Amino acid sequence: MKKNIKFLLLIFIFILILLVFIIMLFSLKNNNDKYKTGDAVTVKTTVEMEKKANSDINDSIKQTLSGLSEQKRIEYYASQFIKALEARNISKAYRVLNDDFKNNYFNTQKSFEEYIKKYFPKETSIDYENIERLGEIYVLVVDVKDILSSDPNNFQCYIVVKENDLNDYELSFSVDSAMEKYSEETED
Amino acid sequence: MRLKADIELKIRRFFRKYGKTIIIVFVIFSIILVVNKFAGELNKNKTPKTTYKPNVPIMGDTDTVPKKVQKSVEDFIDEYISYCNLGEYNKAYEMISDDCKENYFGTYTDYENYIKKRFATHKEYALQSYSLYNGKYIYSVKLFDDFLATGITNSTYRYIDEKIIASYDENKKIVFSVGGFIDKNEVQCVQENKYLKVDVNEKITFYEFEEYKIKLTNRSDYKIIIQNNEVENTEVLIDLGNESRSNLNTDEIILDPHESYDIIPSFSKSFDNGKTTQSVIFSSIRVVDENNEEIDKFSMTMGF
Repeated sequence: MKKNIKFLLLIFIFILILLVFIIMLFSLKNNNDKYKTGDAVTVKTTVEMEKKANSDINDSIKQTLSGLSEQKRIEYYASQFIKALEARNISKAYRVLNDDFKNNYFNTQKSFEEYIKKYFPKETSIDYENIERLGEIYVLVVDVKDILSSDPNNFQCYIVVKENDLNDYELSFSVDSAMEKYSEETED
Repeated sequence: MRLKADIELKIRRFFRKYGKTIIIVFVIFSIILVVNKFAGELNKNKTPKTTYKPNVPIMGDTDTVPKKVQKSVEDFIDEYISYCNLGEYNKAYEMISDDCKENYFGTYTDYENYIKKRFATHKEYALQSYSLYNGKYIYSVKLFDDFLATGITNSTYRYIDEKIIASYDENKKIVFSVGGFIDKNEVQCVQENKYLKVDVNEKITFYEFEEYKIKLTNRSDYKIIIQNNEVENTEVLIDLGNESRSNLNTDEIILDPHESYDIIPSFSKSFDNGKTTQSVIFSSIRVVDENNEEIDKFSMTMGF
């Protein structure tokens, strides 16, 4: 009788371990799914898939940014903005503009698009001349060079960045800088 | 019955043989899961690392501003700048210490003129503890236009650096002064000879310079020249031990016979540079007659 109870207890512990093991396996699988890209099993629609992919990319960028210095992160944000302008990805660039800045200079995305198409070079290289922090904002002095132009120093502008969180930022830039260059060129 | 005993025996053998392995695998697996979960949580909670530490003084030691003072300073600056931006200068004026009001601004009109220049346009601010010295919590407050809203369009990158000082008064209450004003101290230092009486009454200390209120009395029938910039930059000095600083105010100091008036020479000296002013020196006092011929020449050192 005593032997039987001992045996049943052993079976019970075994089943318990097995159950815990299965739960853990499921938990690990779910955890991994969060970081996998393009997992068609759990994603039902293309929109969801896209959202998930974007979120995964964002997580991966955040992971990279967390290892960068403050200066490198701010330069990364500025370069992402410039890249979007080069690629004429206006909506992406417009999205990161500070709201007050938008109200002051570009009430609509359309007006921003017109400005960029008129004044901003399509192929650029940028050099960071200076970066300074003023409390929660960073002021960058950037040389924007039109690599298709023979003029080596195209124009210098300010980019003001505020980092709210990793890969979450808003910015503005000196609107007159590119315009002044454009005026000089058209006068010539 | 026989079958049941067989199964039981097999299971017992299985556990005897693999029981330890199962437990070891289970423990290792659990550790991996816990570590994985913990690492995941750490990643989720990552925030941007910045070098911005507004309450750690950038000058001097590793001291940080006590939490109580931090809170008071942050609240004060926020409210003070709001009033200045709203043009409610009288409310801003009421927030500063009596010592600062009386000895730096003199009258409310002086303050209003001062603050209107600084807040000609709406200003944002950035706060940074600058120095902690002799019980004074010195903060650097950078005032600037809303660069994020303008992108510095049609403008240049510049800001005003204002020193705001927090300290405890005699009632253990935190008081604030603006414009770099530290304090005012009465000084009792008198020297005289047959020509001149010099009476140093007050020392007013600012973060970047110090001023002395000095009463000069010509006791003679001759003209007395104390500063006329003939002896370049060395006619009125302060002695800091191993170095001296000359008067920033280069106006002529010339006393007619029996004339008496107050002068306020000003000397460049950082409040927290660790040096003490030992004396004010008039190094080249010249007594001249009506033809400007030098009758006598001497110096006076007003030691503290």
